[in-house]
Amino acid sequence: MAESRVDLAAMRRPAERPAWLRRLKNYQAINIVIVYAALLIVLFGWSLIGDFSFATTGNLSVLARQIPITAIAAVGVGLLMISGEFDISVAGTFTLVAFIVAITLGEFGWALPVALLAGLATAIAVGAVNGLITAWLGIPSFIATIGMMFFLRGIVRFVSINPQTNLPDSMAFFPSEGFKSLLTGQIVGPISAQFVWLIVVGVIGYFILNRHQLGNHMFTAGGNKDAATAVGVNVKRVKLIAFIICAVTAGIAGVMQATRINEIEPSFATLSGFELKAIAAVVVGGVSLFGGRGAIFGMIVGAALIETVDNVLVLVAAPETVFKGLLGAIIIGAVVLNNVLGRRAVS
Amino acid sequence: MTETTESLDAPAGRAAATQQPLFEAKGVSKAYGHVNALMDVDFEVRPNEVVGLLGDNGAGKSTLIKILSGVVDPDKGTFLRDGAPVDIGSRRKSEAAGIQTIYQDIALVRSMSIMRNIYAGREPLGLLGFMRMREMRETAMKILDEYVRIAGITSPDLLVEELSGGQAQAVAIARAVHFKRDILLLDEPTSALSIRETEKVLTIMRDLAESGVSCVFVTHNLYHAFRVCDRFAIMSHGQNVQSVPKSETTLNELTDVIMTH
Repeated sequence: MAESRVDLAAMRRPAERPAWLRRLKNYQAINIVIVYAALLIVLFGWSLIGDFSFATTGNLSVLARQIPITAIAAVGVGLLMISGEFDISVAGTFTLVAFIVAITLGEFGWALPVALLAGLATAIAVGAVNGLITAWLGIPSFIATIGMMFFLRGIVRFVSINPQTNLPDSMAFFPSEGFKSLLTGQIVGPISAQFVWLIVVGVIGYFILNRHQLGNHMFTAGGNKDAATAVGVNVKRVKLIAFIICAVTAGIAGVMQATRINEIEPSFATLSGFELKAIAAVVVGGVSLFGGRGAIFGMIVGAALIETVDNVLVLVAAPETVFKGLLGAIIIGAVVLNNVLGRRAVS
Repeated sequence: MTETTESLDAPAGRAAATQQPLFEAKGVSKAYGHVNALMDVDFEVRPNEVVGLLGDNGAGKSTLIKILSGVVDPDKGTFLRDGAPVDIGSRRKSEAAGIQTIYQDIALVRSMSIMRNIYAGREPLGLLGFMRMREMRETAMKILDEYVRIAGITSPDLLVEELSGGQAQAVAIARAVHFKRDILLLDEPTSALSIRETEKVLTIMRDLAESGVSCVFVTHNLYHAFRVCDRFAIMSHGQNVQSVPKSETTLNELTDVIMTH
């Protein structure tokens, strides 16, 4: 056939790469996996030959217990970012949900499952309000969730007032031992229960994003809102659901953290920079700030990288401010790098 | 099929006037403030034809296309599908009437794979809303092979941003055809394409018409129009000027008609 010969010559892409190579190149998480592996090699090497306490059992198990908490929140933030929106109020949700569970359990004497449901309802309410304001009123999520961030800080301050001092105070959180070991117990070596929960959240996230209709709609809505509307994707609904998922994962992370350290600190809502940590994790993990691209595994490795950097700075006794500065630099660097390397895929 | 000009030539007079039109628009008017974009325009699409919608800038072509695709409401006008009145007052309703618009700036998500684009909004679902991935992948490739046969698309997992303009255009067309649209409105589909890709898109239009999908080809390029169209509907200043079958006109005549109005 004359035609096909002409067409092939005309339209074949210049260099056809093998399918596996293309799939690897198109896999968004590949950069972050390489970067993180390199970082770990350096840190372990440094620990081996130098005087550096990174690769001690104690430090690694601290790290292994902290990473899942950030990573679980990052999965929610990442799904939302793929849908084309931000949530700056994650640290507030994280703290408020933990407070609600602790107060209903400790002060109201509710049963743990009911207290957890109250926490879940709080998270869903926060996510729903964020989603409604953003999707229905057309307010940019960056603005809407900054508003929510300050609102939640106010609420956290209110619920954390210590009647004796009339000042916000940390609150003890002692759920049952069974719950504590189920949620954050030690399993074997540095592997803790929250690590297993992270895998559960990651697998669910993967199936939602890559195998479920909702995920396809998230990619479509975040990738090209007009095209999404044209093919009949309900963009508002997709974004609302993504905001709710984001708030719920933040709440889960909050309860997990409270269970792990038996305490909730109100200043976490204001001073932790947790929302930036989560955003940095997903951006470093290859999720596009502009929506439409990203992979669950990248978000999780991104969270691991951010927590590892934080950990190393603590080990070298760097002032806390250094981490904040570095976090900002990492976000900007990752966005620039993603733009330069560009074109991570959705397969 | 051959690559020559003749292959694109419609069999003369094949779209016989006696056939029931697939779609008719009658007495369509639209004003934007004091500007009459369309005044009492009639337009029809017959089965198995490529009809060229021609006219200079400001002739009202785009307004007519927007009305037909349900994006713009006309002030006046009736619409018939297979002779029966039909509502095309929204994008959804227009699609339900079998109409799909392929825009210059294609409505595809560049960061997504071909497969995900084809099924966006119409995913085949199994249990609990999970997508039937294998079915999607197999059908996607079949769709591309069947309707557009375009070289260079080796896998449904390619990202749209990896495709050339012509290939992306072909994916958009394949998607429209697969989902049972039998009237394609192509608004300047070739204006951003290279010469070879333009050839391919023209061939696709011709093939589609043969296989039962009528195409409305909006273009400035009379030469392209003359090569693929069975009939020409010429507009000027928001009004019908002429509807003429290819067998009764020449390229020079068409040019004259457009130039003198």
